[in-house]
Amino acid sequence: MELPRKRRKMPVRLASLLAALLTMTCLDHGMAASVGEEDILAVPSTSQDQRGLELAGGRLWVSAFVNVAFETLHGQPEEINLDDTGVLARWNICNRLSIFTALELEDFLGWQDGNGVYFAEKGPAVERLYADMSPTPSTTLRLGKLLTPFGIWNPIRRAPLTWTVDRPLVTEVSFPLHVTGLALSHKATVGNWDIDSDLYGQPGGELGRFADEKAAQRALGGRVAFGHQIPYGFATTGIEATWFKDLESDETEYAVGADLDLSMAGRLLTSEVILSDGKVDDYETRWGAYVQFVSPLWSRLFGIVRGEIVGLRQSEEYRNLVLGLAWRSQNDRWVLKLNYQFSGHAVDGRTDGIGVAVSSLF
Amino acid sequence: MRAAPLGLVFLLAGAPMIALAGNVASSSIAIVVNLRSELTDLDVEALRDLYLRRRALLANGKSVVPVNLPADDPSRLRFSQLVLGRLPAELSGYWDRLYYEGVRPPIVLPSAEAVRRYLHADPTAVGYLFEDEVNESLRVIAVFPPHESSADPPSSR
Repeated sequence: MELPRKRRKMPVRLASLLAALLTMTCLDHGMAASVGEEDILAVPSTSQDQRGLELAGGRLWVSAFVNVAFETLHGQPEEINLDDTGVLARWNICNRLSIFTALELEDFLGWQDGNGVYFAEKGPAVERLYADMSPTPSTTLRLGKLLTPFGIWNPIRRAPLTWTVDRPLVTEVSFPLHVTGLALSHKATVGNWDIDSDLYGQPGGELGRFADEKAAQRALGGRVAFGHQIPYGFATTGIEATWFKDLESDETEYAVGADLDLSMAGRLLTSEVILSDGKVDDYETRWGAYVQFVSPLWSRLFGIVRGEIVGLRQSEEYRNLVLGLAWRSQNDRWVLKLNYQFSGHAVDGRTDGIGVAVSSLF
Repeated sequence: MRAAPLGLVFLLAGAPMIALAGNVASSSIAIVVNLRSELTDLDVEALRDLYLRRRALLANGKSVVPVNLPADDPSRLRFSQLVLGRLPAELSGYWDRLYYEGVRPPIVLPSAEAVRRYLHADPTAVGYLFEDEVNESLRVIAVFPPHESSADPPSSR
């Protein structure tokens, strides 16, 4: 059967667009070059400084991440699963153009009390897939599927990068977690201030939507963040807003937020406040916030305290207190997390209980 | 006996980090490039952007390859404090986030000799050394004198 004429032309147009971008961004400035001198001693000598595998003369970088989590929560079956597991790859085509992808296996393998062992029902999902173009040194045009640049937690989100087993509820239910479209990012440095801004839009549906994630049919949003050195540390604060047509409810929703990320003498303070009219389970959220504090306790052992609250339209507020420990290996590649959470009442399956996870970014 | 408040425990646990920050060597740091490099000078902001991978290109579209020394090297500690405003250990979380986007930190060379040889071979590279470690195979484009803070501009050569 012949495809409709309009659809048949799409791959051709897309290929033409990519070819044009490649021509404009690469040929004028030369392909990425490696030094290739034999006497260069490019030996990674510190654990923190190199991860992943470099191929094709350094133009292709591949890495992997893995997370095994066990949770025993009040009123819910015990469960252990291999989740948040996948690969990362970036191909630097030339100085101004690169392609990045993150492929992820959702609930790849697990065991649940009463239900036994289960396996993933489908293959890897596209968590991110985009092309980065740099029309100027401080500007990046990103085309494809990306993590919504809203707040602090959503862009990092991955288990090895976070300090707790679960993310704060408000960062999961207030806005679409991914954007499939175009994003413009600008990084400015003025004096000792870092000023980063993002503007993004999603004209249609999401590419390879994750089953249980909040997603949009269309979206528009932006974020501005200011970073500055402080005594013994660095502070970043940001504000953001997004308007979107929710995929499930078919209604136009919004979320606006402010965040603070403070690192000082080895301690980390992270906080986000979000106003929204999103939905979670049978509830409508109105606002939410969390504050998380992380401090070294002894050697590579850290203590974590996080308080969160979400205002719900049809119910009393959801409150959650998380106390945790995290141990990071000497090379920072492995993280072992132990949490206990005290939840006011169950929302999104979150109740009192223990969570343990082992995560790594290779 | 009353238990120490949790905040006090956390505060004491971070004391070694503060002490380390105060003990970083205070010799002059020279910013060095290949003799054929197109770079003639770099201000603190540009250096910081390059070393934090906030940008990888110059205004003319040419790429720059920043090179680092090991995280415990005295000149890296000094450079990191002066230019990046943070010690290498304090940037651990920052690099974790960038790794997750496929952005890698600058390459790490094992010694000052390795930096000299790399810069001698690569006209697009930029590095830093203590001023007395610089030889005639390199060009100095800026110097951070001892006890200078990152708020002060480096002297250009």
